[in-house]
Amino acid sequence: MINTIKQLKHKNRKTQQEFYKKFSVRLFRVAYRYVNNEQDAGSIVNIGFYNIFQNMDGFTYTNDEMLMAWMKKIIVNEALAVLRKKHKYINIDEVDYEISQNGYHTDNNLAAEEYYRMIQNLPSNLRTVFNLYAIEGYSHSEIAYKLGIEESSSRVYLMRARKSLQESLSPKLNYYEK
Amino acid sequence: MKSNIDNIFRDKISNLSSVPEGTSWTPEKGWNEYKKAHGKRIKPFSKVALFTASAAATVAIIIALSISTNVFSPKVIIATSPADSTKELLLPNGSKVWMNKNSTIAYSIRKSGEFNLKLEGEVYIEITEEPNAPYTIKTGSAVIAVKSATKLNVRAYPNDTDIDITVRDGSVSVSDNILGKGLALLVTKGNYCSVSRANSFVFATVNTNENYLAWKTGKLIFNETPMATVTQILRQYYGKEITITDDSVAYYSYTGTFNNASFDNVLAQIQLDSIIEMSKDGNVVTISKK
Repeated sequence: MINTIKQLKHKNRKTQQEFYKKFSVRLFRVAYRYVNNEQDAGSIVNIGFYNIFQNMDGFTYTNDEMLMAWMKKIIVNEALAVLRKKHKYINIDEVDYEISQNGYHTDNNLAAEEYYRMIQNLPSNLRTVFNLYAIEGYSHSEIAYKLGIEESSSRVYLMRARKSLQESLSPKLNYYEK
Repeated sequence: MKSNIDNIFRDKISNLSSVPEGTSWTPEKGWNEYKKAHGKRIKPFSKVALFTASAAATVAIIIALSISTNVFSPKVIIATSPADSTKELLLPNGSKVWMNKNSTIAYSIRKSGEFNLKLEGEVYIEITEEPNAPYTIKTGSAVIAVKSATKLNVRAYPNDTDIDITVRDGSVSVSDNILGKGLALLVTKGNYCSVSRANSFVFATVNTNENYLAWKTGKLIFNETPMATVTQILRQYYGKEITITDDSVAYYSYTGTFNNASFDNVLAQIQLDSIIEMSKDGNVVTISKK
């Protein structure tokens, strides 16, 4: 990988192509998780790779995990820029409520793709906050800053997202249990 | 607090490595689009052509600005800094301006107090009072609206791939006027905003570069800074070419401060303090391990 990065710093076209082929699917999945439409996801991936290749000069490779995390960040930022144009993130007031933390078992018969799709099916604002918090690991204050909302609103969006996902999960489990 | 459901979803989707069901995108398609969009890349030897082109562009902007002033527009005042030193100005509305080398500003002040400034290069501005009329700074496609008493640094040399806006105090609103009309990012004290020249992509984050004002203060501060970043900063500050040939040196942490030091003194000091070896060949410095 160190050699690959070196070649990328020299803007070697062939290396760029191989690097793109290697990582684009995973990054497409990240973008698609946010924007839920193929055209936007495709353009986000390409803008993302452009930024990645342009910023290779200042990038210090340490290991594969850090590389992936750095690239994902670029994709997420680009996805948010697209979402910001399409949706307004408003502050919402709601009494905070706790979801019951009853353990629920996961049924391995549910394909990973179904979980991915459940996230897709969330309304845009809930989906964005859930993606940022639960999948990407940003804090509420970082999310509030990125979306231009209050921290408290971020918490409410997250609660609603979890509730909705919980509800999508249960009927499916009940079905299989029958 | 992460709940069970967060972990469940994150774990389940973490290993998905194929294209999502129901989409027709493929890496091949994506790469073809990418090639189309970024076909010709600039080869190193034509960087000279690029530089002269951007110098010419700067002049063109200034000329265009002067020509575009008509009877109904206020007078535009232009100031430039030389190639070898910075310049300090006090504007009629009380704003204090420091210009880095090779920079240009063109500003106008209306009777209402409305202030417009266009810049190229690097400029640090102190707006001492909250403006009571629109106060706008423009460079490239970036539009900066000053909302309160503010101190900010804007770096926008023609060769920079991004426009960097760092807010030292106060707050500004940044948008890009190509793709992001009407969408502004609020950037406050301690944060910086980057506007990409290539795709007008705007993002803001916490500023971790302690040396963004080194050009003005002459002070360089490195605090457990990885050598890769140190060389980036030295490259920018001294305009010298520095390459790290040994990758293991890239993330070695360096700590040290320099006040108005010469390039050679800085190199000598870093070599004394650390496991790094530097060799100079004409104008190029190479860094490796001792």
